[in-house]
Amino acid sequence: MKLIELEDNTGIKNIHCLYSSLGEAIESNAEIVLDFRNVRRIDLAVAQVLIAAIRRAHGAGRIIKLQKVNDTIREQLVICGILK
Amino acid sequence: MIDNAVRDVFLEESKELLDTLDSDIVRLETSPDQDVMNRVFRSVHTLKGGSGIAGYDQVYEFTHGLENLLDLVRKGETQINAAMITLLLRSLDWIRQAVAAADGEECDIAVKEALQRDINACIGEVSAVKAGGTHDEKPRIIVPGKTDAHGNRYYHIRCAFNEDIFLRGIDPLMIMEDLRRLGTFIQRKINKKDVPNFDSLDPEKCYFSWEVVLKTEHTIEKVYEVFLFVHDDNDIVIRDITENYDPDSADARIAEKRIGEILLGKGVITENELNDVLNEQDQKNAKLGDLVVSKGYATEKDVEHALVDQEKIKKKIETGTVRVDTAKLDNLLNLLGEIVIGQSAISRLADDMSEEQSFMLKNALYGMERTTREFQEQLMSIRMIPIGPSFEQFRRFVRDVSHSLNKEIYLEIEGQDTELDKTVIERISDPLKHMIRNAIDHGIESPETRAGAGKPKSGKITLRAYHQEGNVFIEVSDDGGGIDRKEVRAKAEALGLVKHGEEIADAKLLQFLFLPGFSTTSQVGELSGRGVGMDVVKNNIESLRGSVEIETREKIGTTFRVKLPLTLAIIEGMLIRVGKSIFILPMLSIVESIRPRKEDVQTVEKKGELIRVRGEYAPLVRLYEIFGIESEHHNPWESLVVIVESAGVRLGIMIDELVGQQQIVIKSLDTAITNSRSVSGAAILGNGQVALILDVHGLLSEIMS
Amino acid sequence: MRYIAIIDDSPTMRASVMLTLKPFGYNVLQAQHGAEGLDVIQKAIAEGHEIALAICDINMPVLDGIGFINEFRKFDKFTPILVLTTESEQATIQKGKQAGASGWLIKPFKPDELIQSVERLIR
Repeated sequence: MKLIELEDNTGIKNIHCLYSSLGEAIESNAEIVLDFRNVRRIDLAVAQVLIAAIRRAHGAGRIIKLQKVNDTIREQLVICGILK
Repeated sequence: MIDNAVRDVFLEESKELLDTLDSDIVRLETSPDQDVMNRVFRSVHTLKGGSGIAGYDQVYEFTHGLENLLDLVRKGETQINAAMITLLLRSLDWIRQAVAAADGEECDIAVKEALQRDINACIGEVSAVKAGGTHDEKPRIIVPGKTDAHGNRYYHIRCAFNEDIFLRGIDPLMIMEDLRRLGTFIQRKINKKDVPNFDSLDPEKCYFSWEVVLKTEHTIEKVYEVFLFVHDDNDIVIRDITENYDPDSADARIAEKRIGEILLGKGVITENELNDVLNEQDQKNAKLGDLVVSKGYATEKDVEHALVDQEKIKKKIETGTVRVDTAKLDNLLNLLGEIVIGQSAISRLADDMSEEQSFMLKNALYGMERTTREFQEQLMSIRMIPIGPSFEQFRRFVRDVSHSLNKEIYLEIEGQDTELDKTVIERISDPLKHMIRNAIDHGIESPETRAGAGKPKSGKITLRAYHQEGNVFIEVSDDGGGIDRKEVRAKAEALGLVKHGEEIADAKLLQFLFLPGFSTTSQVGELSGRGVGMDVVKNNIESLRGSVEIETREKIGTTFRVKLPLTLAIIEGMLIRVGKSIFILPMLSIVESIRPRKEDVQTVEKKGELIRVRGEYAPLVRLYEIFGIESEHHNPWESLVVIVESAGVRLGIMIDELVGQQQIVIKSLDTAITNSRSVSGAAILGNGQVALILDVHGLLSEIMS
Repeated sequence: MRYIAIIDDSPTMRASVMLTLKPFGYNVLQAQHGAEGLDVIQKAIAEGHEIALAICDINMPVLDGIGFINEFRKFDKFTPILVLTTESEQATIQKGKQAGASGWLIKPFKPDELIQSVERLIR
């Protein structure tokens, strides 16, 4: 299992960090868990990277788990169509 | 607190600014210098901003005028002169005094107003020369948005953001959250597709776009406010579509027009009269209903009725719609059917698993089934429209035809809210017209005959629609003299359809009426009665996989009952087992299942076997007898009895086992099999087995006859 | 720490912005013109702080608002910038946006208008 703990200020300013660590995680062939415990909210840049990553992982028959998601982020993920 | 602190800062700042301004303006008098001029302008500008923030409204208003004047000077549109220098210096004095005035103390308004007049005069002179003026404010017409009955508005909002919007420090997600907070998204389309594959994604670019329908109590201005920073250079389109969601707020003119159409459709006014009134309405600003009454084309009562009708048939007008080939919808429905079959196959696999695995799989399937059901409902609703408007169009027809035959006939409509497949509605219209024409021509007697029979002079035709067990029934009833069976028989014998003296069932005899070239009226009517029509009616209905039957009672009237299947291929069904056979009962008709006691079962002469349920007797049906199959039990008290209901009549069905509830995909059957009225279709079960779907209504009538 | 920078030549404006934002938990850096703004911001970043938002006036001495935005965007692509303008400076809004400004606020503004504009851009 590959656990990625997102930093508090994850967003457009440092989106490349998330992008590359997700890229590596997908390559590693392990189950990916994204932990949001430190994150207050996300922005659209994060949502886009998540969508692309989830799609990519699905294509490889694996899933990306999101954990410790607070209500604000849950709502954001719904707006972006990532959560139902 | 904040105010006081800001005030203190402003007092300090304004003192400095006014001092600088004093010396700068004096310097301007001796040597006009653009740099100095710009500084003067900026100081007054800053003074204005500060006074506004600190709450010195009088100073703010005053400096605003002063700034306008200086702007003209700065741009070289007017020359500074001694008089203007004096005016500026006196203005500074007034500002100094106004700022210094303690809280609540009035500054010298008279002086201010005099100065303002002079400043405006300077600006006015310039503007007069320039002809026109710099402020070219467009008149803004604010139309208060319409709301529905609950004060809600509906907006269709499309927002596609520029690829580089992140580079402007804007997060579109925040905007969407703000939008979401205004109300609820009742529709939402997210174009996630535009987000590229992970590898080709540039995470600093924006690929997202949304299309939402927002239900909110806020005005469109409030919605625009959410997009304030982005709406002029991103693709943001906001449309008020409240009208589509609320028939009451439809444009009044359109509503008027429709009142006219209703009156026309009911035959109250003629087309010429309607055009006349509509023309008049364009000139005068009067209500159409009032005009019609004042011209004597209709009574107030007529208009009242029309208004009531309007409420009934008003149907939301859909804009922003896409026309879809119904074949595509059929295809979707078929595919959905396959999914449902697949699901039940998986559900059966779960039965063979360990308890834990089976539980987990079934749990997952449960959620999936819910989605499938919702999907199916949505798909259905696309095709379903109420039959009301289609019925209404016959009012005019009935009036015209009956008048031409010197008959008085009133059309009554029941069940106009009954929804059915759009195609079915379109294709049933002609057969209905034939049946109505037939009822007017042959069904309803002349006023004299009716009077002689003690009936009211004017006849009544009833158009009725209702749902029953996954079927739609449409009835055309008249209160006429009924069909003369002797006449039908005579005609049938003459045509060699039945031998003299041969016994024939009533229903079969009446079915002859649907044969080509069969007519019973002695004198051929002008409209119908040539025998053309009823066979066409039957063919049309059968092509919709429906059937038509006639019920007639002498002197009381005749009813043509059209039974149409819902084209929807799926029903909620209960699987029941008799021996090795599986049957399906529509869930809607099931009341309960019981295990009767021996003393509850009785055989009554002519009525057959009855079973007592909660104090009432219901006929008992042995499916194994009807279908000639094996059964585990032959005594009702040893087997299970399912109580079903149709049209208020109950029936007990003997079965061996209740297998379970399931969504059933109806596959249409060959007519050879469906000849039995007890069966409405068949379904393929998850394991590939075929099961017949029982038609409770048909079972009942089979037993009764 | 997370900071909002206010760059305006009017002390009244700076005080007003600072006093309005403080109660909402925002830390505010001040500068009186564009050049000083760039200095203050770069120093804060060098010390490991984050600039969440820059609020700047257009009409300023030394380096005006548009000049400030142009310079700021050279080292910070994504931080939102809120421009303070007056009715008479409408045309500058476009220039500001082209330079990379995120939004604008028309002076004079009420405290809740400022808060609303800020919250449109950062949360």
